[in-house]
Amino acid sequence: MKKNDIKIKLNINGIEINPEDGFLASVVQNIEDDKKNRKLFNMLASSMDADLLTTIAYKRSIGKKTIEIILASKNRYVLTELAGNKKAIKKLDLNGIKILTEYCNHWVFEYIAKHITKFKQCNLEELANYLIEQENNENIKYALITGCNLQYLPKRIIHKLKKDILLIKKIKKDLGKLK
Amino acid sequence: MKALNIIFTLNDKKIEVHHKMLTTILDYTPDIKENKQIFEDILSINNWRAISTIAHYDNLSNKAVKKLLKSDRHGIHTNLLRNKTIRQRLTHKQIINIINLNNPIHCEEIASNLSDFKKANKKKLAKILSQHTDPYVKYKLLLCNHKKLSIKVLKRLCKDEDPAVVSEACRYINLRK
Repeated sequence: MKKNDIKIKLNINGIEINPEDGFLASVVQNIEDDKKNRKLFNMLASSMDADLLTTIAYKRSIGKKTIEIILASKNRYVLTELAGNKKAIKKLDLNGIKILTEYCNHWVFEYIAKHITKFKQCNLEELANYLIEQENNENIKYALITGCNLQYLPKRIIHKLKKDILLIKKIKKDLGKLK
Repeated sequence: MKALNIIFTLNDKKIEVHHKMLTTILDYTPDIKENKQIFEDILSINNWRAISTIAHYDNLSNKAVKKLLKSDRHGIHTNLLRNKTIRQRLTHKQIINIINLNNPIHCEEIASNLSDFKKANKKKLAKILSQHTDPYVKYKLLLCNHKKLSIKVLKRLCKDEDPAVVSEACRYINLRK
């Protein structure tokens, strides 16, 4: 469905109004971010209009189908909005995370690392491996180690992070001495 | 008071219109004669931002303008005064009423756009504004509408407390010599 196919009907006290350009993207911002509007958001997202997608990507109540449409847009601005939608990105599988991280800033990796156990659609080991494989991964590894209880991480990942864990422990110990 | 009945659908799906959405709707409602009645009806509701949006519009009925002028809500008079079409429609008495509210922002707007008030006695307004306590009002008046001021008023402003007002007033006296 194209944006032009979305039919807007607006009537105030019996008078029909033809809103000016840009109305739809603005008004969608005001549509209640609630599960009851999930279908509506999906319908609007299917227009693939960048302005609409940017607004919808930030709605906490969007479902998997809408997230898939947003990922398919491969639009940096839209995906950055999605990355800021902490509730929605937890519904992503590893492929989704790969698309998201490809288009967004490095902080997304760190956020995912910090909250890795919340990404229930992903295999924990595969996701952790993907994060560790990144270049300039010091901050990612730090977020992974300090973000969650290490007992939740698979042993093979702990093994890979051993050096970093020891380093962080040493730094924390040294900082303790400073106090 | 006429209640507001808003029907808004996207592909036949009914959308609830809450206060914020109403303001957005009004932002995108074309400012055309056909919508004059809507703008008037909006004034009957308790939504300050929506009403403030209406005050920007050119196509307001006289009744709507009168209602807006009576409003004591923040920003509405300012929006009216920033609207050239409305400035041209305001009567001398209506402008005096606004000046009497003694809000420097309103007075500054009037001082800056004096020539737009076609239904008012501009010289009288200029004289009143020249006596305002706020230097910004006097300075704007001199800067934008010094021609409306008599030599007598300019001479008085030459003795003002504010050096910038004095400097401008004296400059215009010299120009007239």
